Order: sequence, then C-alpha cells, then structure tokens
Amino acid sequence: MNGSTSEYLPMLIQSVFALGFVAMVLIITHLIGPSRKSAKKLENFECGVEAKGNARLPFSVKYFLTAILFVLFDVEVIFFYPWATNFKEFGMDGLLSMALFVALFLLGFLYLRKKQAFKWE
Amino acid sequence: MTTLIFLSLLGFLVLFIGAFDYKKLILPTVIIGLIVAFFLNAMDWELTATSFYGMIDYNHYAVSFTGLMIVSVLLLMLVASYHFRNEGSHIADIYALMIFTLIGGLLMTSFSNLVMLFIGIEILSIALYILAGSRRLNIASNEASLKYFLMGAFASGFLLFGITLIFGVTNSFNLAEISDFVADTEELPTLFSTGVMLILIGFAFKIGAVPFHFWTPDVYQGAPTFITAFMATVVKTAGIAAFYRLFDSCFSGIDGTWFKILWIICVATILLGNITAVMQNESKRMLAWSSVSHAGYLLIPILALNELSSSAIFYYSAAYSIASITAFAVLIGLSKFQNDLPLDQYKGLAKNNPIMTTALVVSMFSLAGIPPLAGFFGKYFVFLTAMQSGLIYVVVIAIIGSLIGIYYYFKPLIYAFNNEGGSLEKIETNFAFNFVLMAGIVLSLLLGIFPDILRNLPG
Repeated sequence: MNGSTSEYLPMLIQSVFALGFVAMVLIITHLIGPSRKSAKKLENFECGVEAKGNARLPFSVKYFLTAILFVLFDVEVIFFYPWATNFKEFGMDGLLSMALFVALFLLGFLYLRKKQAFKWE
Repeated sequence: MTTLIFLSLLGFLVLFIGAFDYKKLILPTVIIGLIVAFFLNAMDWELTATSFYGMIDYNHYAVSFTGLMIVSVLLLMLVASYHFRNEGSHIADIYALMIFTLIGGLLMTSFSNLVMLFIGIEILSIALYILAGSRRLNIASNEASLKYFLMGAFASGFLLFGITLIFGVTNSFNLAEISDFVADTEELPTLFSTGVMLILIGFAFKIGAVPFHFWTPDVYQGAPTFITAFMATVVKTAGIAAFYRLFDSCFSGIDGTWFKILWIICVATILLGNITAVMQNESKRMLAWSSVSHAGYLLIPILALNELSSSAIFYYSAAYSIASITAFAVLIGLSKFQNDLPLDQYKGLAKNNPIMTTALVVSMFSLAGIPPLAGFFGKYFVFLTAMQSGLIYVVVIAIIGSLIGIYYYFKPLIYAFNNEGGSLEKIETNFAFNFVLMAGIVLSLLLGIFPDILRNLPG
C-alpha cells in the first residue's frame, strides 16, 4: 500500500462503521421491539389529522408562484442576520451595501407587482 | 469593471421598461445601452488591476472577450427584434435575460477567484434555462429547457465538487495562490488531480464536448432559433474563455494529469461532431452538431497551451461567432417559428433573395474554413498553435474533420441554388435584419483579409 492510498484508510473505516451502525440499529430494533399491527397503526401519519385521498392532486399554479416568491423574499431576510450581528464592524460600508441589496430586492418586488404576480383573481 | 455595473443596471432598466409597457423604447434602449457598454469596456483597456477585493482581474484577455460577447449579443438582439416583429409581450424580459447572461459571461472571462467563476457560470446558466424555454406553449421548447436545466445542474455539480477538492488541498480559491501552490509542491496529492478532472468534466459539459455532448442537439433544436444562436456563440465563447483562463493560470504546470484526457475529448469532439453533422437532414440540428465540432477546434489551443493560445482562441471565437450568427439569422429569416427546418427549406433561395444568399454563402464558407474568410484564418491560427507544441496528430485529425465539414456546409448552398420546382418568394425583411446580415458578411471578409486587427488583442 503506497502513501497516497493509506491516507484514505480512515475514511474507509469510517464509512464501514457508519453503514454498520445503521444496519445494526435496524436489525436490533426489528428483533427486540414488540410488533403489533393494526389498521390505525399502518396509516400514514399526517400531523395527527386523518389522511384523505391522494397527495398527487392538481392544484392551482397560483399557490406555486406564491410559494416561490415567499421563499425568494424569505431568503433575503436570512442575509440580514449575519449583517446585523456585525453591524458595528461593517460601519458605513456595510450599511451602503445592505441598502443596495435591499434596493435590488425592492426593484424585484416592484417588477412583480407591475407584472401582477400578487393578483389572486 | 464599470461595464459590469452598467450592464446590471441596464438589465433592470429593460425589465422595467417592459413592465411599464413602453414597447417603442425597448429596442433603442438595449442597443444604445450595449454600445455604451462596449465603449465602457474598451475604456478599461489600460486598467489592468484586480478589483472587488481581488475577485476580478480585468486584464486584456477579459476586455477582448467581453468586447466580442457584447458585439455578438448586439447582433443577436437585432435578429431577435426581427424574430419577434409580430408579437411583443415578453420581448423585454427576453432582452433583459440576455443582458444578465452577458453579465455571467463577463464574470467568466475576468474571474481571478474560483468562487467568481462559479457565480459567473450560474448567472449565465440560470438565465439561459429560462431563455431556452421562452416559447412557453411549445412542447419542444419546454423539453429543451428542462433537459438543459438537468444537464446544466449536473455539470455545475461536477464543477463545484472539483472546486471543493482543490480548495481542500490548497486552502484557497484565489487563482494566483493555487498556481503558487502548484509551483511549490513537489508531489501533488491525488485529491488535487481529482479536482482538476472534475472541473474539466464540468467545463466539457458546459461547452458540449464529446462525450458530454448528449444534450446539445436536442436543446439546440428545441430552443427558439435565436436562443440557439445565442447558446452556440456567446455561451460557447464564455465557456471556452473561462476554461482557458483557469487552465492557463493554474494547471499549466501539471499537464501530465489532464493532457491525455483532454486530447481524447478534443479529437473525439472534432470527429464525432463533423461525422454526425453529415447525417443530419434538419438545419438546426446540423448547425448544432457543427457547433459541437467547433468546440473541438476551440479545445486545441487549450491542449497546446503556449503563448499563441489565447490569441488563437480569441480569433477563432470571433470568426466562429460572426459566421454562426449570420447562418442562424438566415435560418430565422426562412423559418416561421417552427421547430423542424429540413435542409430543403433553403431550396430556391438564391433567385429572389440576394442578401440572404450572400450571407448564407459567406457564413457557410467561413464555418467550413475556406480562404479568404475569417473561419480559414481561425483554423490556421489554431493549427499553428498546435504545431508549435508539437501536436501533429491532433492537427491531422482536425484537418480531416474540416474536410468532412466542407461536405455538409455545402449542402444548404446546393439547395439554395437549386431552382427545380420553383424558387422561393422574396422574403420580407426589415432594416435590423439586413443590417445583421451585412455586418456578418463584412466582418467575416474583413477579419479574413486583415486578421491582425483582432489577433493580437488578448496578448
């Protein structure tokens, strides 16, 4: 075994260990756990509410658009956190960069409004 | 550097002009904006400094390629205005997306940090996924968009993983530091060469080199024709420019790890691209395969990697872009929004449409590499670069590929001059469209007769 191959030996050991752990836990729970089957237990768990019908229903594409836009503007807020915690260190430069960032998002928001992406009817 | 900011603002401006429905203003804004961007870019010629905290290195190479891409986009916008002359609902969005794609291309030619390279590729690709599907109600366009998206996502994954591995070894994203690391280290770890290979695969996907070319014909055929032209010219130029920039600045000292693989990719791309193009009966598919083969020629200077390489890549990209845009423009003039454009569509073109026929002849001759057109000198410089590094077999195979190429580039011409069964009516054109055709003819001739005006630019 030459130098470069032996470097990867710990990785091999770790992957074997990880796989082995998963397999072991699955087998042990299967062996020692009691298994009682009933119609209620075999149902899908959906937040405690009784599941009805198929999940693959056609739904209005408007929901999708709203969801995507929500994610977009939600991600924007995430970027505020690291900036806010370092607000003092960043100083004026940071404030201006953030203003630019928000301005760009605001432009996007205006564009969406103008294109009537928020209109539900 | 100012070009980057200016183009971003221009993109937003065009979006808003479209949203507020000032239809008459859209095209003039785009054209004036791009001309201003071109001059702003030219003004940065003397400025050879890194900017944005060392993320971008705006040197002669970057300025030349940016200029070339701006000119290509400008010509394509004019073609698009003809393409969309009868419908105008989404045209501002399409123009804006093309400008955003250009920003991605600009970053790809001027990066000095691997993160910037990745961001550039993503800006370019994400806008293109939408552009490929911009004919929303057409199933082929949707298919092209989805296929391109899936393949592009795979390619980005490969590229990103390669960048990660290289960061893991060198502890830096900066090109200069990586290059120092390569020079200082006696024996590079296996992880480093794995990273180089993954980056190579990512780039091969993006420029559509064999064996990572499977998406090209379907995507090129399904996308709207002027977007196909856009992908075949601007995107390919940006991809090759980034490929060369990275490999020249970082991995030139360790060509033992990637040379053989790139050699095979290069030769296979030239041969398969040309041979498959011979068998196509559909014009867009034929041009798609021809663009695959041209990616192969563009890889030769990267393979040779000497002091002639950058100018050879630049000249070849310029010659190829201009000829391709002209060829696609003729195709757009002939077609009426359909996807299938069989080669006999050209039948009888010559009699009533002199400008379009001349443009077709010049572009096909230039793509085939017949002197005195630009395409010939592009091939000549590429082969010269290869010979300087002693790549004789590659040159022999590339010449065989070009000979095969002459056969299929002549097919549309034979149809165009064939008047059996009646000739085509005169096709209604507008000023912008004729301007693009004339510019294509003049530039192809001019570059062919005076190759030195562009050749020494990237330096």
